[in-house]
Amino acid sequence: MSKTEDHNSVNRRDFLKFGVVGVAAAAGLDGLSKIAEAAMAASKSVITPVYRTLGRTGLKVSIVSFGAMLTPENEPMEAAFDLGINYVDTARIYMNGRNEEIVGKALKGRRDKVYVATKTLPASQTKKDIFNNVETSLSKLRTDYIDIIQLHNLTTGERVFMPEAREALTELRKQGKVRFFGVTTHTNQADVLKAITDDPTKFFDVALVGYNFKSEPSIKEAITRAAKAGIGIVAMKTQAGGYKTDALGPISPHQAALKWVLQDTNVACAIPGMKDMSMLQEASAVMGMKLTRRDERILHQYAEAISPYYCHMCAQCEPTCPQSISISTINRSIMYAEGYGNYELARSTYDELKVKESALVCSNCIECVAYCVNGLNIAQKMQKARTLFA
Amino acid sequence: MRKEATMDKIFKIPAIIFLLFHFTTNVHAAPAEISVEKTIPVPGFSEKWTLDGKIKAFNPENLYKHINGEAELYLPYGFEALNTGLYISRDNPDKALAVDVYKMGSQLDAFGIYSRYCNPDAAEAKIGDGSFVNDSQLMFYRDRFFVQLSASGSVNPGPEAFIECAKAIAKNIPGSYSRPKELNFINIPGKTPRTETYISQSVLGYAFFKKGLTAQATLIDDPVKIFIIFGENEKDAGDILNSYIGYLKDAKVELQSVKTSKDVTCIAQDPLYKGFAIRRVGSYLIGASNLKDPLKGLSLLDAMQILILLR
Repeated sequence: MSKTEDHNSVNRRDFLKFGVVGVAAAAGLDGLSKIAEAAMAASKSVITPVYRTLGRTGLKVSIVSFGAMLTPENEPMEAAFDLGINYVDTARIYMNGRNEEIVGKALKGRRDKVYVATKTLPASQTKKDIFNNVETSLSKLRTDYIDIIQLHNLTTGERVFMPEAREALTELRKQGKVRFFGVTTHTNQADVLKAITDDPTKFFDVALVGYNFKSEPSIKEAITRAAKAGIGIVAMKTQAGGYKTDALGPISPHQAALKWVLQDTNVACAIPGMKDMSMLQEASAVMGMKLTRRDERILHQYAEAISPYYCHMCAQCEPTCPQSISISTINRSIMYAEGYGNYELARSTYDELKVKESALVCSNCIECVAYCVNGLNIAQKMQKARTLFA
Repeated sequence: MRKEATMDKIFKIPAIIFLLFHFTTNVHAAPAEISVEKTIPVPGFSEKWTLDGKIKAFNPENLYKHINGEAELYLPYGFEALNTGLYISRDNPDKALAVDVYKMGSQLDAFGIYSRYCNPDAAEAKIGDGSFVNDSQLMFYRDRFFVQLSASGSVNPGPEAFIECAKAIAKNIPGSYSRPKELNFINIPGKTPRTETYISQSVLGYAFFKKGLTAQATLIDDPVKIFIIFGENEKDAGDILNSYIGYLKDAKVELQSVKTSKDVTCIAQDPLYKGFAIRRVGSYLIGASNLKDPLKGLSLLDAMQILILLR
């Protein structure tokens, strides 16, 4: 494991210089060669990628790796690879396969420097399906092997043991088309992690899991246990939804959120989704940074700021309201206005309610007795709705 | 310069013909507002196919429960609601067809999310305002709706079932054929068919290019990319251009200005996209990238400019 824990900082200029390097080198443009040389010299002084070992695969992966799912162009991805980011996560299902095509373009001339992780379709359970998925992925990615092939979106521990899927993956490895096996999970994550950790055959080597500063302790414990057992942990959803909030002014919580995940050394790497160069700059600069007390304060504020948006639509509060108003829909309307800054959407959502379901009916009660299990102040929210949507 | 003048003519004349064709045939009949709940046929889309269970609804907060992290792709396109259902064949219960109907922020947004999935080489299904079909999927958009049909179950329903289902859903979305008017601005000679993509954030990977269209094109046998960036107004477009110029200066990339009688076009060797030409036209920025010779790319910009000015 090669780690650099210096507090690296990178400014925009230096970062952009670095971006020139790869393109100039790849294109062989004489006119840019001097810029490229200067940029290479500058970049070495500002960014030192940090690598950790991806469990028992032994792969050394950059702790900030590339979540490609939302990236519409290959060029920013190429800049990331030239920066030393060496792990990219995509899936057969993203953009109907076009995402793999974009990754494939970015890999051109760089395949030996980047580890590629992709996923079978979530519905694929038969050998035939999995073979077809992998063959299609290889074609779209323009490569002859996939480093990590993951069964997509496992929701129960049982699916870890599907014999047909295992046979297919084993056969594909014998053919040299895939190197390591992994799973991805979004729900019942702790159960799925436990299943692959306790699997005596040690079939799966990698797990892609949602993990952030708002994660339940059970997830952290399951990750620790899995990592100790040699499972390579890749973290996704590191931003806890990535909600925009004005509560922190110009301070971005995203670096702090990413640092929070990476300070857990049981995590080999995180794959923040990067749509553009500025996101790449923000995320890649985290490599080598430590989580500071200031970051913790930022995250605390961030958690506070986004907590009003975390109405889970569980509707458990609604039976406690004597007027049976649609509290969750009203909260959603408020969130559109305040969280997303989209008043039009907020208004139209609120207007879909019948009068008897709206916050107007609250005036029939002297005191609000509706209760939220997550601690939302319902009376205050309904008052806000009446103000916003009067 | 004589060669450029010739190129101008080559592109301008067909561009005007294209423009006249599109603005005379592309009549947009705005359909009445329709709720997403009414789009999925109940109890089935034909006698042979019936809904299995209830239609499920998702909103921006819980969309991730249906499509996981890919939900983030939809939110910047003004995603409002999703209704989803599963049809089962009466003849063969192993044949199943999953339907997702998304209501997006606008027709351009619906096109935008559709364009993220559409492969230019896929067969057209001729449904809605744009569509494609393959062995296991059919997708189309109409008005503000983006519709995905996917094979589910162990036996593939086949393209006929997809088309029948898609037609039934399209019937529930009133209105006649139309396309977002912005697509006309990029519909120049040389553009590769069906490569238009609407990006609602960070066009070309640059955050300052907030939203716009891109497409592939061919310029004298070379593949290039053309684009239009949407500004809120002329000032905003100017500010966006200044951001780009600032970016180039930071990268110490040389910038050239090419003046004609009416316009100033900036050309440069962009750090990511090589030969690059960009020009402001009102509230828009038009441009081309991946150009071997940026000066030759000006004819592409001229063609787009005509389409914008004559809109």
